[in-house]
Amino acid sequence: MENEKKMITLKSSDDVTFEVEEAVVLESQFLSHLVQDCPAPEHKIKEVTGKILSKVVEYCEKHVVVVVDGGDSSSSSGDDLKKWDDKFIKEMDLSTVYDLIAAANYLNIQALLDLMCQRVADVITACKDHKEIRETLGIVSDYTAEEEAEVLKENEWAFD
Amino acid sequence: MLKRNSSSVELLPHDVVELILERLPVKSLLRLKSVSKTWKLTIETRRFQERQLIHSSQARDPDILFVHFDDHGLKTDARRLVVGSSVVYTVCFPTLCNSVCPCICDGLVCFYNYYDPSVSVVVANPATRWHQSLPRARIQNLLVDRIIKKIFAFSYNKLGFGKDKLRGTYKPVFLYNSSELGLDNITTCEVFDFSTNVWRYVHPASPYRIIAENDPVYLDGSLYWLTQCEETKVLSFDLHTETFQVICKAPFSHVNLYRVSICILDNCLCVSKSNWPNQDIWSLDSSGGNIKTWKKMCSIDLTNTFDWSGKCALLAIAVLDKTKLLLRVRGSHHPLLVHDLHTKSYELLYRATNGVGSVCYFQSLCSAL
Repeated sequence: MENEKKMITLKSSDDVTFEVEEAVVLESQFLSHLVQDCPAPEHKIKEVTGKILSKVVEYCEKHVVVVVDGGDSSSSSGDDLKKWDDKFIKEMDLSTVYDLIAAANYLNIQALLDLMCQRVADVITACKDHKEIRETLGIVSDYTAEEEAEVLKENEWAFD
Repeated sequence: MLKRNSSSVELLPHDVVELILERLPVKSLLRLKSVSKTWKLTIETRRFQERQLIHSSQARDPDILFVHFDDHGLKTDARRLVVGSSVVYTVCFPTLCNSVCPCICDGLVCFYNYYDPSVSVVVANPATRWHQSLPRARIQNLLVDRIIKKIFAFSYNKLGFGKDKLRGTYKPVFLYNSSELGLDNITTCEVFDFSTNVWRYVHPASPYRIIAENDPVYLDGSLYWLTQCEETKVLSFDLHTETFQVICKAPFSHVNLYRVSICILDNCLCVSKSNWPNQDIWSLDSSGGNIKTWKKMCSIDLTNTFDWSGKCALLAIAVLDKTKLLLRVRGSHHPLLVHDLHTKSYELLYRATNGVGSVCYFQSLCSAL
């Protein structure tokens, strides 16, 4: 209880600092271990840039508030949170999504990782064929023309 | 050197790319094999296939497979029939299989026929169209022999199917009462081994005769049957140790064989007994370890099902959307009904000529090999 409202400073790879409540940091498994093991007032996160860390902090702050408030009106706050999540990812370009996936994976924030992975899965589902998927996701095919034709033929029926 | 796009998904660690892919449905994943070799390899590994299955089974209710047969080749269609988050698929198999095994394991379904010499058992994945025909079991040969010799003593021989969870191997199982077939012992059990491609006997088989009219069910590494005794019992077969065991008494005794059934609802072993116009369903509570208790799950009024099933008991297949019970009519094209547990109403969900049964399943990429 004595740690309530304790503030912690996170510093990104490019030295942007964020001052957040300890509860926000605890959304990340990685950071909660870090904070417990090494009780310094400031923590440098070398793997994450300021741009992405600001998104991570924004997400964690939103989600931690709801958990604290949500005691009696959990269903409506659950819906609000879903709406907030939708808006959070809506205008985000894929490059930011990838960076956030990498950050959520590194910092071990499961809910953020799930949200972002689902976003990419939805993008894949919306593509009409494998060529569009490659283009959208920036994948370089390692198939020869013959190999590709063979794989396509094998799974031809799945395309109707 | 190929130049990589600066915002490529390929810059992410591959295990994270797998987290994205495991959220996609089976049909999309089959198409995604043509994106790159790396993706194809991933999609074809067993570890990924298992994770994809776990993900899809946690995300929503199972889908429903309505099985029927005709000559137009293997086809799977998603009918525009949706119950909650479940979709009804119909699968058509181009063989003379007249039975579908209700034990669904990892999206694999078994079709079989127990008296036609041209068919044996087919293990199939309707979502990927992978399938394999097994050689005929001894029981199937025995019945074909008897038919050729015009010995028509009727005998049901229902197939069970499941997975040895420790070894990760799949096992089709025939368990049948011996006396009708002039065999020794009370029952006979055959298990198919995919590694050697042969059926082999399991000794000792069940110490009690089983209610052979019922299909066995599969749950969590074991198959289950009801025994045919004065006091009906639940019999289990552990697919790893290959041993039979009576696990408890049924909540009824002195039964009419056609009025009782065993089923899996919400991952619980359930039994059902009908006494027209009521049918009761109990679920087994194993939370007390070895002390197992039956809990009455629901009691349904069959009066309004008369037009579909006469006075026959229905087979419960699944609970969907928490309040809807999916029921299958025994015999005559096996129509599929939905019963709303709140409003007590029935609705005909699907019926087709040559229907042989319906099962609940989660689509998977798995094969039995």
